[in-house]
Amino acid sequence: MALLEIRDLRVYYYTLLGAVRAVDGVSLEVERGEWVGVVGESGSGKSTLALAIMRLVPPPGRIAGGSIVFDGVDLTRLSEGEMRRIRGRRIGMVFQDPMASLDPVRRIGDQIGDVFLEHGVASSREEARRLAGEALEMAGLPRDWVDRYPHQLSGGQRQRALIAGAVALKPELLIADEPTTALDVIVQAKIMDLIEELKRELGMTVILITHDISLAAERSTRIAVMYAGKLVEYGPVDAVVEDPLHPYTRGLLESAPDLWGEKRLKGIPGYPPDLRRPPRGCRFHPRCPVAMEKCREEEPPLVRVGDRLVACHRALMRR
Amino acid sequence: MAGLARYIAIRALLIIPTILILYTVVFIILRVIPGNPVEAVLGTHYVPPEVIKEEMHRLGLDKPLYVQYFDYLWRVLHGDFGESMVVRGRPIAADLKYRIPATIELITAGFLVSVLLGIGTGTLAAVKRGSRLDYAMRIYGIATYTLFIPWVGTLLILLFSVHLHWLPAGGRLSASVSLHRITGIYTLDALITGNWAAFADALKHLVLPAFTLGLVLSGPYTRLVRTNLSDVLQSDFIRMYRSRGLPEGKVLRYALRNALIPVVTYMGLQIAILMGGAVLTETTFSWPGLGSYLYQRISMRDYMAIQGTIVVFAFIVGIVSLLVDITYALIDPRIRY
Amino acid sequence: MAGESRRARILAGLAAPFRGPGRGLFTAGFIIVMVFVVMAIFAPWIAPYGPTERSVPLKLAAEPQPPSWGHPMGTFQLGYDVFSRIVWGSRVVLYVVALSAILSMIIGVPLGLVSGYYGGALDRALSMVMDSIYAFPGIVLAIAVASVLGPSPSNAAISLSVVYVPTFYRMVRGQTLEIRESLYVEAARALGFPDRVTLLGHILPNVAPTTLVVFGLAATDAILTEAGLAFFGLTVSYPQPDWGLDLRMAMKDILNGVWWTTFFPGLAITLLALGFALMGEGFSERYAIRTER
Repeated sequence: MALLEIRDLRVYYYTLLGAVRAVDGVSLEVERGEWVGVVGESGSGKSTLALAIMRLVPPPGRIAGGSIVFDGVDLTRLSEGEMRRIRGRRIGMVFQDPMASLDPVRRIGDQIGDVFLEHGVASSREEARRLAGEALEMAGLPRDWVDRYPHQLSGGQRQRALIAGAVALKPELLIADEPTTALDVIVQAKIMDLIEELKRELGMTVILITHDISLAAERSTRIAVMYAGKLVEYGPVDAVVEDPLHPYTRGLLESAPDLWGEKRLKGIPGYPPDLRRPPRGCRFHPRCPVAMEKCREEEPPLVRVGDRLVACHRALMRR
Repeated sequence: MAGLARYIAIRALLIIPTILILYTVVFIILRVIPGNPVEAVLGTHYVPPEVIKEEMHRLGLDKPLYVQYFDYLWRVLHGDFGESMVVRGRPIAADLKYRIPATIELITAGFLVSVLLGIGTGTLAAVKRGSRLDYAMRIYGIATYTLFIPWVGTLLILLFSVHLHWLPAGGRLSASVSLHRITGIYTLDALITGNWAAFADALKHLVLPAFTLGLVLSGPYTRLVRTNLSDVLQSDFIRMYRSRGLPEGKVLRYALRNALIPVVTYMGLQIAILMGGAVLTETTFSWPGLGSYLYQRISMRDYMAIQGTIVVFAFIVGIVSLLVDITYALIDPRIRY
Repeated sequence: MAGESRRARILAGLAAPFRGPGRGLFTAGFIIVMVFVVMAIFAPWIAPYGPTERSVPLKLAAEPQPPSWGHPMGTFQLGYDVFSRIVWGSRVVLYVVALSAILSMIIGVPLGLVSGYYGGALDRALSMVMDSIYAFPGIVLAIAVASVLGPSPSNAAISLSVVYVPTFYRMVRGQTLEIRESLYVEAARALGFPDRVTLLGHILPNVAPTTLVVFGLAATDAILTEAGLAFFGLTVSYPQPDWGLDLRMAMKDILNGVWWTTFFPGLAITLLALGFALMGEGFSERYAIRTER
């Protein structure tokens, strides 16, 4: 059985100007021990997907339908109290901006120590501090940095501290939402190394959310590509990178920085659509270089092609 | 901690010019503008010039102004505020010494009430942002600020003293209660001496004045907490806490800790308004502090007493803003001293 | 043609606070303030009795009389009509507050302009003095000045302006500092315009809107401080009418359960202050001006 099984998930933000369908019918399976990269531009719904798994979609957003089955339990049906026991203990999460994701007025050790106290692992503050020190060490920071405040740490060190807190209770699943976007390239690689190492040591499953398809390609087993709230392609990393079926995936690959991380080869012209009123048919058709008449009229279903899934009329014609 | 000591020392030095300027302003207003204060006190009655001269000499008012300026400053620093111009032979310092603790007690209690009310209402508004309750709290923030203190005071007296007979209408202690005076802050003295009857009585007298003062001054805190807290609640680290399974109550507590830091700075600005409010509150509730003293002495035109009271106010402003600075340095780890 | 568009612009500017965000608050405040302004201007026609006129038969004048058809807010001791005294009193209150606002603007705005524009030792000295006064309880300072000058509405206005000069000064100085660094002022200086022209022609017009907001905030405060001065007997001498003084004189009544002699004068003070506060709030919401308060 898959560790995580998302079925037809819909997450809408209910604004005064209408519902924004940030995630609109996404289905995704993640096996135990996998490393799945979820890729898309900003506004593709990938971060909302991550927050939905944690049941932390901020208002006016709400999970409007579908299910998220984690280890046999549908998270969308849990009470808030039951969900809280899963957050931080069975699913850990790391966020984009390490500068803003730590509480500026509390010591690092206390912030990490919270998880031990909250989930009943430590019974006293001293014990929580000691365990927090161990977690820091696991994330490659000195044990005695529990006494430091966030402003005394660099960006990379803060991300390590955040990772330490997220994996402190050895969760089965770690969701990393753009964990390195705010960091420079060298630190970026070190943080990714750390996540990979922790994954191996703790036997975690990792979902990496990123806009950077080359970063996702580096360590993932599978890659999921999202566009305008839809999953458009999902498959083993080699297949997706070598032979992308969806024109959007192809566009992402072509616009990715080259090996030297320098210049962008080719961008995708245009902008993602307004998710209050998505275009009819395939949502990508206004920007698609190979759009046909059918793409304007009919929404392409997500279809299994070999060991991957794709939602594109053109790709289905090709096979 | 050596850094902190240095920081406090520097801050303490910085309040000296503030107090000096205020002293100078007060001196100009009360000594230079009135011309001859003795004649002003005696009013329209005819008094022989020799008597006036003698009186001026007794009070040291016949010296050149700049001599008076330094003379008075020197004496004030030694706790000598001169002699009353109305009650002959009565040192003003004795009156002030008796009344300062009363004002401090009222200000402290009013301050606590205003902060608690402000944090409570502001938190409600921030947590329920955009709701009817939020709107009501916004109006609360504007409207309480515009309440006239003696008006609120009389309404409360009317309700709680005259109609319900729950609380006394004024004063600090019932005549039937005896209390050994140590600090002059009655609730504190009662606690120190373990005199529970006096404690209850002093507290009963304190409730209405403190609530009046606190209610009127809570509005700005409501507004400040509302905006700060709703900003903080949207910040990334709040999401981080939630993602680790912390219950909402705890998340809110950590959020408040962040949101309250700017509020502490505001407390410094609030001191002036708090003391101004105390003057009116004291007069409304016959609270025997500096404010009601000022009221009493203004009607007697006792300029020496007025001057002394206002100089004391200046000192209190200086000292309290120093305390606020220190508090700020202690609670915000990002301050480098 | 040019004159017409100028007039249209001014009209649009005046109407602006009644539109857009904050218009509800602004309009509510504006209506409240206007009610009092009308009351003050037309007092002789609105007030049924003179301020010190015995309005009830002599035998009823010894005690305050509760509200009735003839006296909707009741009467004070001596038979003064509460409503009439509130109407007459609004003249004193508005006079003192308006005069003090004008005085503090006349002094505070130029000082702030000069201080912010030229900087230097003068600026530092002025700032220090103004900041110190600003940090001092306004009402205590006003009481001190008024007690020296003696009770009269004009003296009360002078006392209040001592308190509010620093408010205008600080705001204008801060704005001037900002604008001085902007390109067009530098250009004006580079072109060799005299300072006078730069200050009055370029900086002052930009400072004006903020001055208006400060005026609204200061007015709220000034009304309450004026009431405080009146409460201390420092604006007019009884039996001349002023809300704060009436409240003070009637305070002994409450122990007998008489509420109307204190309730209505106090309500008038709070309502007028609320009117200005709502206007200021709406105005700053409209222009997204954040003020420390």
